[in-house]
Amino acid sequence: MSSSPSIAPSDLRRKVWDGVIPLQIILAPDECRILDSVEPFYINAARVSYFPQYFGRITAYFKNSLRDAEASLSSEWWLDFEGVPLRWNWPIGLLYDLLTGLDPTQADNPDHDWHLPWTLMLHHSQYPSDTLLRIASAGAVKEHWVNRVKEADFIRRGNANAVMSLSKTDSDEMWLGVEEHDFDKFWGITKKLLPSDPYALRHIPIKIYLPSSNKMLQALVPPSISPREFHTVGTALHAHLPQLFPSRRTSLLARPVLHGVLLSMAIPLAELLYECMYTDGYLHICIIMIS
Amino acid sequence: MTVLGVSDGITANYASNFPYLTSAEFSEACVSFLPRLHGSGITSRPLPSTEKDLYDGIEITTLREYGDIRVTSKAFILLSPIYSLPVLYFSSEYTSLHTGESTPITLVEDVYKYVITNPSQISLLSEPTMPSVSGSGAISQCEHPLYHGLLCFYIHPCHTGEVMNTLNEDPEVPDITLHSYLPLWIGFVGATVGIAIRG
Repeated sequence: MSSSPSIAPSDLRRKVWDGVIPLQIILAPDECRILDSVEPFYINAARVSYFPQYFGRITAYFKNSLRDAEASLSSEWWLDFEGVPLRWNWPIGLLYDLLTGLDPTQADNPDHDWHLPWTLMLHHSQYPSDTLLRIASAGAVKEHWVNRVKEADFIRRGNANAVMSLSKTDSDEMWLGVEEHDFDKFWGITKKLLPSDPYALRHIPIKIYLPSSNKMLQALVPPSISPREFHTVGTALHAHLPQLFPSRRTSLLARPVLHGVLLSMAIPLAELLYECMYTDGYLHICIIMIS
Repeated sequence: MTVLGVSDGITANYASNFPYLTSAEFSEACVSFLPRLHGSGITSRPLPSTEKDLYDGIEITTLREYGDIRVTSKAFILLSPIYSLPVLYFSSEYTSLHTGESTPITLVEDVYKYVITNPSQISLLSEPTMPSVSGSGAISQCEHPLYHGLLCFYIHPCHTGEVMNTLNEDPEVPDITLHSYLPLWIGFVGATVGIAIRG
């Protein structure tokens, strides 16, 4: 990262923040008052955001087309992609990369289906409560996010004191940064939680998502292997998924993807965290198989 | 905390970094706790680790009947890889004794309604939290750590460490050993799913 010739680290944070997935939202037939009467809703969703943050805008658009008019007052909506309910507690960009099997190496392949805009179906009734976490109130996303932020802080330092000792103003501001998708509000506060030296961290908060099963692996990776050797994407994946990553330096069987970008195995993990973490403080990395 | 003996055959009696537990210390705590987790309405079994002779935790089934419903819960005591503290995960359902119909519990408010046996104890666990969040409860829904695709609830572990420290510093409480760790811990966490131990 520090030797990257074209992008300064601070620009990278901005690029990550500005990443969007164009969505095409179709109202499920059994939610419609009159079938075929309403056009889909289109919106660019921030990769680092969560779907429930868009439910208000989406349901406002469909309000007059709803079979159940009261539903527009509810927070508990759900989306499916090709029949699979989407976990609202995972960031949008992660869901897109993982579920569409995004393969950045296919950028020059005109036949590759990028699933753009990403077409999703919107539902209210028959919430799949055996599969999806409940959205008990409009505060559900914030509650979930706060728990992850605390965890990430604990992982970084061995305690959650930094997050707990934020002033109420700062703490509100940090959440507003997420809610309003405001870079300066979010990073203005988050910077206070990060020691100036990423190598001073105890562990790097990282979650790895496996293809097909979508199983999530929580890994505790220290910034350095030894005083002279830092952990890279490759060394960390080799340590935690040796069957998929038999080599520390070369992707032989599988590839790591973050924010829709193929990660080089040589990237220092601690520095990757600082520039490319999601709003909850984690690196959510998805694995794609090399076909 | 003094550690009585280390590896090579003699197991430590105290946590080396109380209140945090290593996998081996947690396993030992589970081994000594397991026999105490039997009684009316409660059964338990160990969760064997892939590592020989170690346990990854304990699975507990509880059953409680009151009024015209039966509440069954399946709970897991596991070691948090993040916090190095024990965590209680549980899923519950209530069954109408009239109709035999079962309903899984998926809302935290229903956990309080049907499952919590001792509400005052739960307030002890209420999390210290980011200042912008008020009254953040001690219980959240989550994806099951062992069974991919299943959902359950968990009791937030980061407050546990403080409570255990407070107990340990209490002059009226003997120094907490690996043997007494989980029985004490379950005292304030287990109330959720009606887990109480004999003696």
